[in-house]
Amino acid sequence: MKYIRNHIFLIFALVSILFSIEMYYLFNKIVKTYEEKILKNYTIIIVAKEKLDSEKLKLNNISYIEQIDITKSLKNIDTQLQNFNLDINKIKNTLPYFYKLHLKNFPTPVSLDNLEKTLLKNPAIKRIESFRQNQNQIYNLLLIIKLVAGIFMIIILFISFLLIIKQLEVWRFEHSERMYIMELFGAPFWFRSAILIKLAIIDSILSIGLIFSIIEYLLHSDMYQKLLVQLGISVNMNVFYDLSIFFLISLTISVFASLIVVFMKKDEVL
Amino acid sequence: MSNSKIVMAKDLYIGYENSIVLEQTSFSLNRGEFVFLTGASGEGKTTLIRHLYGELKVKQGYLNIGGFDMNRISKSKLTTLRRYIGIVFQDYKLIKEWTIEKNVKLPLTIAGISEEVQNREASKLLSKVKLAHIAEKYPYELSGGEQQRVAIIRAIIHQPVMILADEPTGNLDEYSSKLVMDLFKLANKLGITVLIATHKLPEEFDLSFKHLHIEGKKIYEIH
Repeated sequence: MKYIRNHIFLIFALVSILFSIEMYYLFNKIVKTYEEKILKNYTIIIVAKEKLDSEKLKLNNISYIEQIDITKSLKNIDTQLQNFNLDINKIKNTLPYFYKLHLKNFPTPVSLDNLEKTLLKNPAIKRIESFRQNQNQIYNLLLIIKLVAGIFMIIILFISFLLIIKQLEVWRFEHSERMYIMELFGAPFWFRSAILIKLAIIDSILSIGLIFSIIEYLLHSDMYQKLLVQLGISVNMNVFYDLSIFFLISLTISVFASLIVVFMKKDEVL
Repeated sequence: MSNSKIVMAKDLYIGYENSIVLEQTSFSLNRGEFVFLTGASGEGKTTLIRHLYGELKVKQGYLNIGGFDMNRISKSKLTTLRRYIGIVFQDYKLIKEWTIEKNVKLPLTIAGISEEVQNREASKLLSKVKLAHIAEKYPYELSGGEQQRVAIIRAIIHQPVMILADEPTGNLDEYSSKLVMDLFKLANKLGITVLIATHKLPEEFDLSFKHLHIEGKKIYEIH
């Protein structure tokens, strides 16, 4: 019980940090997967006076450019307007060139604006249709959640780090006598700090165990599964890879905080 | 500083932020000497000892310990110097969460000596002072006399050049005081310089020793 009371703040702070990072990472992944899904069906239509290719456009975000064959459309019109006896080839020659522009990444409203401006600067291009309505509400909502998760993560990181520092200061105070004795006998910095670092490592391991349980629960929860079904995507999370990264993060934060606390200590001796 | 001098103080001023404890005082300690530093309470015995192991900074004057100028010593060199000094306190300063054996081995652990040698040395010294049976006990389970003997063993286990003891028998009865003094004599026989700060000299002492006395902010060499 005493152990839990002594360690709860550090474990809680570490779990909060790891959870906020995981949430940010998860929403990032959901947004990315969703972007990939809608990007498959998303193209920008370009109407051009002359033939175009990727090299002529010189844009980074272009995956490839595909010419639209309008013959089929003209034939449809011809079928519907039987009395007019259209000369499809003649009409085709008078019409401009139509292209579908496939992008590498799903554009944000700002990048879409920039893309349109750049394309319109090209004298060969007459008109552009970027189908902005495809940037639907769900996507915008996901972007907002991702942004909120990012801000949340930064705030949690800051507050939790302060909490970790405070807890380590309490421990340093608890162990100050033994650290002082070691210092009097010529113990180097790492030797005196070993007790704090050891406690920090133990708590890092405990917090990893806790965060693993929380993530596993969340990823298998109905709420999360329904969200993915509604978005029409599947997100593959490599929990063990994430945990190894988390362990490194947790260890780095706690050891770094321990060293800060020992460094910041007002010298008791010369 | 000559090789035979382990401590040399010249025109030394020491004290705290707003007070001077010793002023314009000079003295020296030779290697292998047994020294008693006497003086009434509050005259500055503890303050001087704290300067000798570098806990406090010299205000003015020159103080050299084991070849290190204490006015200019860096943090890392001070750490190194302390490995050659054994310190004994009136309140023992044993690490209460550690067993006696672990406490005794502390200087050897710091020096990076192998576990095997540490165990052998600790066991040898504890047996020598008939404390082998308490090796696995904790400091709070021991009497004051036993704790002080453990503290002295800790101070000599790494064979330091000098031992500084601040009122080591101040809290002990006559019998325990004698056992503690025997340990200091043993350390001195091993060639270790011993400086003991005490308010009065022991009534019987069968080794030759130097007697320094603090009075009126000065140190006097009595003999």
